[in-house]
Amino acid sequence: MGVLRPPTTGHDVELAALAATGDRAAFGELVRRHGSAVRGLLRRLGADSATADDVAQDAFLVGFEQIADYRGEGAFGGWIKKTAARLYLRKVKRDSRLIFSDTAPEEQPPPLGDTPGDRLDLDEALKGLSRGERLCVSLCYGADWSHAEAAEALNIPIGTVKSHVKRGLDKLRARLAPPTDGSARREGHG
Amino acid sequence: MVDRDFDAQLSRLFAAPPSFPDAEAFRGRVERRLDRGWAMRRILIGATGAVAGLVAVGQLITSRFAADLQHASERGVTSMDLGVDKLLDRVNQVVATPASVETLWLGAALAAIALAFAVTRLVEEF
Repeated sequence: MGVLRPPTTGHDVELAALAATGDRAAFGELVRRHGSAVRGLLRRLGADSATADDVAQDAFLVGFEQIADYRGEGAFGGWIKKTAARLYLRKVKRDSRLIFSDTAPEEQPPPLGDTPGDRLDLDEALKGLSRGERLCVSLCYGADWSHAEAAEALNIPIGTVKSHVKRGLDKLRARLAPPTDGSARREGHG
Repeated sequence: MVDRDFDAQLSRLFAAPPSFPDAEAFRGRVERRLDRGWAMRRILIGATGAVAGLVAVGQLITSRFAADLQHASERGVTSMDLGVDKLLDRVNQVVATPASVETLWLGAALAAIALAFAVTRLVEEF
């Protein structure tokens, strides 16, 4: 395999344009820049680390195939994260593991620590959410999906998405922010 | 106001990607899969070309055969039995023995080119 000199400078849009001409080194740079974000998002959606990495790789391969569709209207990171989220949802549906319930989360979060760092650990806090809450919150906040997009992809009513998000935010607020008596709303997101 | 602050805080937390110690290895894995995909595509194109070449050779042989058959027909062969016999003879000739030395060489050359192409790609990519 020939050694390709990857371009390490340039805006994402420029690199994407190069990648659209078949420049794999340019696309490699995009993978370097956004790989962790995509892997992190998939874990936050509930994927275990191996699945998250597999789906993230698949997402980048699909991204390379469809790079001509990315015209730079939005951030490349958002575009590839949406692709990854779609692939992950397809996978969990295929594996029949997409179960929405209001039951307790599969894994109980550890107790809150006293330091600010402990209180701001999003990944730990997400473990305290139910499967549906975690998916909906992570899709809407992590992948920038609207409530409507999430409802369509998950094949559930938009009202269900909104209630999952609201309950999820309430739980996250309790773990991430100082206690308040208000309730979370994100109506503008839909 | 508090809700909006929390919304902003949550968005910031989601926007901050976690740090992975194997980030470079992940990039390498994606690039290898990309390279492998391209290699497979090239091999597929090469194989398709080789198959197309073989089909072309086959067409060449059968068209010569059809022309011979037509020529025989034009010479006024009236007996169906005779025609069938000639046809069978010709089929046997095509199947049992090479139509010509040139065809053999052409087929061998095409096969050698296809094989060389595939081997070259494999050596370069893996």
